[in-house]
Amino acid sequence: MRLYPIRNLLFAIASVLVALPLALAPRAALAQAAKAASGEPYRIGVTYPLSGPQGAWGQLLIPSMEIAVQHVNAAGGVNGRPLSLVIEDTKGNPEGAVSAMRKVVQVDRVAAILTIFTNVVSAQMPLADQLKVPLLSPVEAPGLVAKSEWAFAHSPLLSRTLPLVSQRWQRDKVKRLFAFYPNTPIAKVGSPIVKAEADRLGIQYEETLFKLGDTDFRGLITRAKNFNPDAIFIFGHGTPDEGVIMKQTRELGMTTQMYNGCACVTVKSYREAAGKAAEGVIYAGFKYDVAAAKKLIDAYRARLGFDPDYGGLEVYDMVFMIAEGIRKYGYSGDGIRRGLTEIKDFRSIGGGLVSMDKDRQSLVAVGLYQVKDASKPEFVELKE
Amino acid sequence: MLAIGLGLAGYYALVAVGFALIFATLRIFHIAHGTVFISAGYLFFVLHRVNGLELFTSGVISVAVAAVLGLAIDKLVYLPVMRRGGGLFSVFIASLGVSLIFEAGFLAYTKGVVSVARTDTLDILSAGSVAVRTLDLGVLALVAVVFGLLYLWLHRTQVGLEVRGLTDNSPLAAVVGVNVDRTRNHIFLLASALAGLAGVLTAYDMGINPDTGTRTLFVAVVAVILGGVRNILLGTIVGSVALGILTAYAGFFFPEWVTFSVFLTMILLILWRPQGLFG
Repeated sequence: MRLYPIRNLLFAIASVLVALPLALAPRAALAQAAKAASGEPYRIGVTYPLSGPQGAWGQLLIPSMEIAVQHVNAAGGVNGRPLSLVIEDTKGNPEGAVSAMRKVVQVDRVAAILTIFTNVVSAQMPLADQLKVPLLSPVEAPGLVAKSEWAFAHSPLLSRTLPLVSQRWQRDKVKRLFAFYPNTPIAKVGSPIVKAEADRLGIQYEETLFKLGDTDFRGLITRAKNFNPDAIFIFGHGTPDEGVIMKQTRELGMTTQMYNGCACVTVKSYREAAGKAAEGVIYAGFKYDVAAAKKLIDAYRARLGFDPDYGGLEVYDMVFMIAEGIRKYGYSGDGIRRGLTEIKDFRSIGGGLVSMDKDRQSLVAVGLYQVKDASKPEFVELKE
Repeated sequence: MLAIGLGLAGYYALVAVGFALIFATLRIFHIAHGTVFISAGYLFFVLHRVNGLELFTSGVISVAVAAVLGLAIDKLVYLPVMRRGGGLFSVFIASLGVSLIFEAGFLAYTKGVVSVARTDTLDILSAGSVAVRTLDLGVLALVAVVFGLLYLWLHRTQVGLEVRGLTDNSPLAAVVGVNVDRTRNHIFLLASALAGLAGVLTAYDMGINPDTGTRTLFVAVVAVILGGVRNILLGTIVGSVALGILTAYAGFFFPEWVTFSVFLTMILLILWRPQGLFG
């Protein structure tokens, strides 16, 4: 009992010794950043889902944006002033999207917004026209952002990734192809493009829709098995459901080569759902050069404990794109819009070059990859 | 498809027999039985997948917690409602409330992302074009053992005799000296442990979503209605096998209509034979 005061004293001293460097370190970093960039920050609105079924996306991607802001600020900011993010939860639905956008524009006075998801962007575009604030998102719905001169997208469309996959089908002499799509509007986007490509190559094609949120896809996979395909193609929202399909496909004895229409398999939750079944999967997606992205990967890993997926690279780029717009034309909606419109040969953190087309959809470098190890993870670019 | 259907039947049977035990003896429409199922699944996921605890230990802990959770729902929700004069409908509403609260909690925790408690791929046994997962065989063997033990429990033990007495005539059983409170505890513990076992196996096998418990329970309820509640073991086994095969084939031929097919079966059955096949 008598030892308790001494023990408490030692504990208190040890706590101070441990806490002191931690408490001082951020201040030192801030002081350095302040030296690099000072003054009132340029604010960028972030309207992302932080809750609801899609809330995980906000938690995965916002750290990448925050790291990008740190990197911009550490390098002197934009015209000497720091960047900062104003984050609002959209809950992933149109009502939340509009509410969050009004808040960041009309209360926080941001001049540009980073946002995500087709339904959210669709709801925000009329407001962007009205408020004259540019939206920048990784949506992959073809033609969506062409509807508003204030909407921009930075993502690889299926029309850009599919040719890489179909070259592989030709090389591997695929004769029968079975495709899986979720029962959402993305199927209306993906199915006609893939079917047309299969027809062009003389490949017999069959497809099915799966229900998001289901966990037992064995009936659909048995249907695929009965079709006896040489190749299976999966194209969806990058939800773990697709990983479960991969796993259950292998567990029904199918050894058919699987292809993915996006880089979704780089997403941690997707890989975890697929497990070892993800290994060998070939996918085409956003160029992800690990060496080029090292500074993001290191910072992201230090914060979250795992590597960023392709979406993390896209949103990291977006912060720099907006920063470039501010640097060139000042901190205003119209200035940033002009800067985004003029993006040409922008060096992505993933290693490729990016240009904005006339419909405000970025033309990004894409690559064909194969998953070698789903747990590390290790993705090998297929060059041939 | 038959193999898939039988595998599903195993899960349905484990949930259905517990639900039937509670419904047949206590007349409680225990919607929160699905909550017990999914809670065990998520606990197993957290213990085994997230924290790396050994598979068997994680499973045993999860099943034990499920048993206690089921009993706690009865003690903390159902019994207080009944003591305050609430009827079985009030208990049903309370059960629904418990179910919705847990489902919302799991949705907030998981963000609706499917949780699969394993990363490895299951072994399969192949014979020609037929491939059967070893897990399905294991589940069927486990269900056979569980039902065998349940048969012995119901027919060779004092508590089992009391359970059958409550099933046949609840008021009379109480009059002739059946210790209803003790029997009630046994029923909730056992039924919840079985639901927990199904939840653990489902989380390990296909993965779970926050609404997986409710969806599985609905199929299990239809299996109970199909089999009838007078012969709990035979009724739930036959009902579960029928529903397992039905959902497997519906998933193949009409994947958008699986739920529809289950409830259409229920409505037709109620119209044709309200007491069930063995009721």
